[in-house]
Amino acid sequence: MNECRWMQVITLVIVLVTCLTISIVERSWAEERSDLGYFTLIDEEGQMITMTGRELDPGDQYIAGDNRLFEVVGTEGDTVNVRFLETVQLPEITGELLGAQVGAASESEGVVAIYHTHNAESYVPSSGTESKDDGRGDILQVGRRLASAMEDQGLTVHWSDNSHIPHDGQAYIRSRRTATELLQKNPDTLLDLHRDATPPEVYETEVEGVAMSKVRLVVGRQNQNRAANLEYAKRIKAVADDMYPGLVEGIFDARGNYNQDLGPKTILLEFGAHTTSLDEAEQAAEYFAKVIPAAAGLTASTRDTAERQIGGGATRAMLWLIVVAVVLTAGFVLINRGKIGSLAGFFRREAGLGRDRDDEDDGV
Amino acid sequence: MPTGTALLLIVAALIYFGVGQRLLDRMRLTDTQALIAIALMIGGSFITIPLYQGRTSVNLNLGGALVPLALVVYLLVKADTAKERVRSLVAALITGGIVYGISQLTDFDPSSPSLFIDPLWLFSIVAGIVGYLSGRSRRASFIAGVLGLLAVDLVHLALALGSNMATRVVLGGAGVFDATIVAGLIATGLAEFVGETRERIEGGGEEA
Repeated sequence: MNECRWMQVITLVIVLVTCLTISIVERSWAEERSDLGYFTLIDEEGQMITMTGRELDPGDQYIAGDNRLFEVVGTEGDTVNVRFLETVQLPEITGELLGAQVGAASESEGVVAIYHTHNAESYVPSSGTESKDDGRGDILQVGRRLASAMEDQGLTVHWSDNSHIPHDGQAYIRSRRTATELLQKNPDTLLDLHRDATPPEVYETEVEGVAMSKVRLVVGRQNQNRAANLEYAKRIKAVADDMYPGLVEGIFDARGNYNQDLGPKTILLEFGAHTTSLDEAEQAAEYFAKVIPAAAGLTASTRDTAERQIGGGATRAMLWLIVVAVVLTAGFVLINRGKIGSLAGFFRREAGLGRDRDDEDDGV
Repeated sequence: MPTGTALLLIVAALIYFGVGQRLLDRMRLTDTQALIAIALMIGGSFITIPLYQGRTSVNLNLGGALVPLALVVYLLVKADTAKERVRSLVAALITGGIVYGISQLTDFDPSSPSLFIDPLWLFSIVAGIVGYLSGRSRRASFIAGVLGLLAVDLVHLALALGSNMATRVVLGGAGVFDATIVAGLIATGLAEFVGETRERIEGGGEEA
């Protein structure tokens, strides 16, 4: 083995050992954080915006309950510094919503799919633990309650209690399989239910005199459906703000994918935190079930505007996707051939119109 | 479904399948063979075979596990030398080790400390880097991506069976969108991109 090969082997071994070492050290830290750690979002004037168990990065955005949009500028310890950008104008839905409310409950028509990436998540006040080892976490009961309440609205609901334990970095890879199976049932919207990890007051609310948990929406930025899903999240908040003010805590537009690359109108929902009671989270599910039909356009009076708004986000996303694809292709051709003029030949060849390039190989 | 939403889905699928086909065709597959491979992955996505039913149920998706596995075997058989086969398998083993290590480092949960990038993309990049470093080859990267991710699944399966975990394991269950295939394809694309860039820098880019 020559010197170059030895260097490659040594590099690989160093990378492997480093990763495994970090994993052992960081694992214990991560467990401590999941018990007590949370972050507080503070704006330029020192005002607390919200709290979250979620670690945020510069550039992540948060639409607060009062629709003020903040951007993360940095993190110091448990404090996340954010700056105010603007007040977001949510979609105007009052008129169409009135139509939905006047109509009978059975007016809703559509298919909803629900699953739980972290199916072991539980509520400490009710179960004495934040996570159940057998994977039958309290969050499943929230999902079942949401499914049942939506069926009462006239919707067809596919609820999956598939287990994806343990709660590790492969959980989203495993739940991707459940999500894909559910997508084969052609749902109009796909919901991944979780609970957050914050002090109880962050999610405490009262709607129509009933104590319940708030619901936070999470949109992943690292996928092509982000624009459509963000429009969907805004629409959910707009409907909830109109029907049940205080039910939605806010919208995180943050790094990650959360399997939202699988399609538009896929969203992650946080029903309370580990410090919330199961009863309050279930109450929230009962009310949230009435929000989804109007938000997703599953009622006759909301269908057109929902399609226009969410479809508008999807169209923007598609255009961006095409632009990115073209730029990447042009960049590759430039690197590959050294001149952009080779683009025509490249596309001719890739379309099978030029010389057969089956012999082209990577020459190992 | 709104027109915009439908168009987005169609364009995204066309780009994914199109790029996938072009990447496969760079690995000792003809255009037609690459097209058939993609078609089999898509068609096989709808077929899941139960292998064992118990408290831990074990299932295998044709499109997400069996077809890419068959491709890997084909690439290994067609490899020029034993050294190339060993390098590819070592790359897969190392990828599996690193991905498993990262999986224990963070849960990528919105409510927990996580890395800056989604695991689906991160694991693919790991496979691409390891595959390229081990053999400077697209084939090694593809094998590292597919086998590496599958190895982590098998570790999870062994742990689940060992502890009689109440769970349903579906190897390659997301079909053509499963992490095994996504990782294999992205890893291959990365190796292609890095390899071509390196050749360009070194002044040999005319021969891809």
